[in-house]
Amino acid sequence: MDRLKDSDSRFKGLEIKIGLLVLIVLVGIAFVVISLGIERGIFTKKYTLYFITESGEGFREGMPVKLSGFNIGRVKNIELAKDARVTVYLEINNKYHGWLRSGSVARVIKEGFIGDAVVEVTVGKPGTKEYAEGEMIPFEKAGGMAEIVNEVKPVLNEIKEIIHYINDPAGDIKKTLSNVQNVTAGMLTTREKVDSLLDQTGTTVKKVQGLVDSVAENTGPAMESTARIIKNMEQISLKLVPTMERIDRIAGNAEMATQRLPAITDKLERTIDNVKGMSDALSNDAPRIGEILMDAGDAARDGKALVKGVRESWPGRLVAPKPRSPELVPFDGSLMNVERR
Amino acid sequence: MLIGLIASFAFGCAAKEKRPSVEEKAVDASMRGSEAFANRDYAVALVRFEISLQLNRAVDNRHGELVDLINIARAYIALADYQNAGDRVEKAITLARSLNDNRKLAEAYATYSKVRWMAGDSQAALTEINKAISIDAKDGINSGGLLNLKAELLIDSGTGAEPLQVEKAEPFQRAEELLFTALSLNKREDNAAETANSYRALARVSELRMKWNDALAFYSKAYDIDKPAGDPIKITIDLMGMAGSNLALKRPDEAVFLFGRAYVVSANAGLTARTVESLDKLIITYKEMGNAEKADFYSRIRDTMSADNGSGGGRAK
Repeated sequence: MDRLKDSDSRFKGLEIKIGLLVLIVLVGIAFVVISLGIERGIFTKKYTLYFITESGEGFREGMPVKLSGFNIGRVKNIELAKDARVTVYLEINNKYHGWLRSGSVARVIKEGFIGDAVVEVTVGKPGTKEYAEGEMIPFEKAGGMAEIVNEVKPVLNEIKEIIHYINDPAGDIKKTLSNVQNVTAGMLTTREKVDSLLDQTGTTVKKVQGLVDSVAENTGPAMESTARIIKNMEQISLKLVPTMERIDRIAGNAEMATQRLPAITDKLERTIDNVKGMSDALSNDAPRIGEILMDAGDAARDGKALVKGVRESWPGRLVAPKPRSPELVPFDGSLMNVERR
Repeated sequence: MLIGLIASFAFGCAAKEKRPSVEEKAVDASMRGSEAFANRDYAVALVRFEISLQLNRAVDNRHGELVDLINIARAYIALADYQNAGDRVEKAITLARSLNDNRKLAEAYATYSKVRWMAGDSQAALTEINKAISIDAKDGINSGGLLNLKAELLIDSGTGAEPLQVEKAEPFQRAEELLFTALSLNKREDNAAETANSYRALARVSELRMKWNDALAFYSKAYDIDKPAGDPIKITIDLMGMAGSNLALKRPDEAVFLFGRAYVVSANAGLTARTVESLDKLIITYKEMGNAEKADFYSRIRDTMSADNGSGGGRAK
């Protein structure tokens, strides 16, 4: 037995050390457990509410219960009642007791578009009685896909009926469309008549224009000649200015000339004597001047006739302008396009 | 000095630029009136011819006055005013006789023939056209247009035969003879308008004899000439004629198509009476074809037109 005795100093108090270690581990484990428990609300005080629904579909135990997005509890239990309805028990954290009052309702919603289903409870009316332990909270049925389909089905049927009504050839819509078409056709004809009225108006306007043209034609030449006269007078008045200046110059020259008059007079007398001599010689040929003038007139007439002959011959016709003459409008030998009394 | 005198004399005889005379202005107005007439602008043509008449009378230009009187009468005929037309053409006849202008006298008688017919006196119309033809014949002139008119007057009389003459073997034979003569004359003179008139009148004769294939052929030939000429009245008449012939030949589909075209042309040209006539034909034909929908459709248009216009009006052929 002495050989089993441990005499190493390192083994002294070994039991105590082991005991301590175990204790520490146990404490650690306990700490972790307790922390986890606190975190998961195991030690949190809770109270229970319940609601009744037609079907337990979509519910499961442990399903979160949320208020305004906050997790306040979970579905504790789901039971089938004798009347085949389902009682769902909610375990709610006492901390949120104050929000669940009269007016609060529970409903199932999906978190996000394809998220998990949760039970949502709403906040009750302020100042009202809080739900007590074990009390029933009303359940509000929110539409699932089946409900949506059920709601849409009658709408689709209605739409089908409306389409059928619209397409019915004997129906009001088709008849109305047909009438609209007819009215439109009538309007087209009316438009055509308006066009023809406009044409007639245009013809009337042209008539008036023609009358205006005729007035303009009659008055135009008179106005043109008046304008020409005025223009001529302007030109004449412009020409008068230098003429006046020339008259002044001439008057000046005349003064100078009168001073030279005696010398000019002497020269004039000598010139007159010369002219007298020439006129005596000319008077012998006077009878021939008349003949010369007559020959000149005949030559002018012959020249005119020659010009006329050239004009009327084919080369001349090509260059000479054609004389115009009025023509009859064509005679229409048909009665088919004429109105009769 | 003598050379200068002669030179100034010669230059003095040279033509000077002169202002247009009253006669030239009358010619100008008359020619502008003829242009408006060719464009089927009859009201404007009338005004211009009247101006020309005044100017010609102001300078006693009787030949010009005669031309103006006949042109004014023809413009009034185109405007369906036979009373004013008659007044002018009677003056033209008097003036043409005084001027011994046989050509213009024949034209005046031909115009007067139309006026008498418009006034409802077919017998007087025939008398006047015979005067016109005989005057031309004396001068060796044959006018296809006058023969066309005479033939149509004979057709219109119901027998197609000359008064007080023995009836030919076939109805409207005399009218037909005149029309074929007119046709060859018109073709020779390259007168497209009168050639179309001849064809149209021949079609009318064929219709009266119920020879529908011939009627269709003649109307088609008239249409081929009238369409490029662009006269909506004649085009409508041709289309209606072709449609009627097709209908008689038991070809209702072609008939309704052509009646439809006649409706479109006449409606767009503002020819109310012919529009109503074409609509009536469409309605009747569609009803006979059993197409109530189309008949209804055109009936509504017809009713709208009647409500707006009061009545169809005009002379339907």
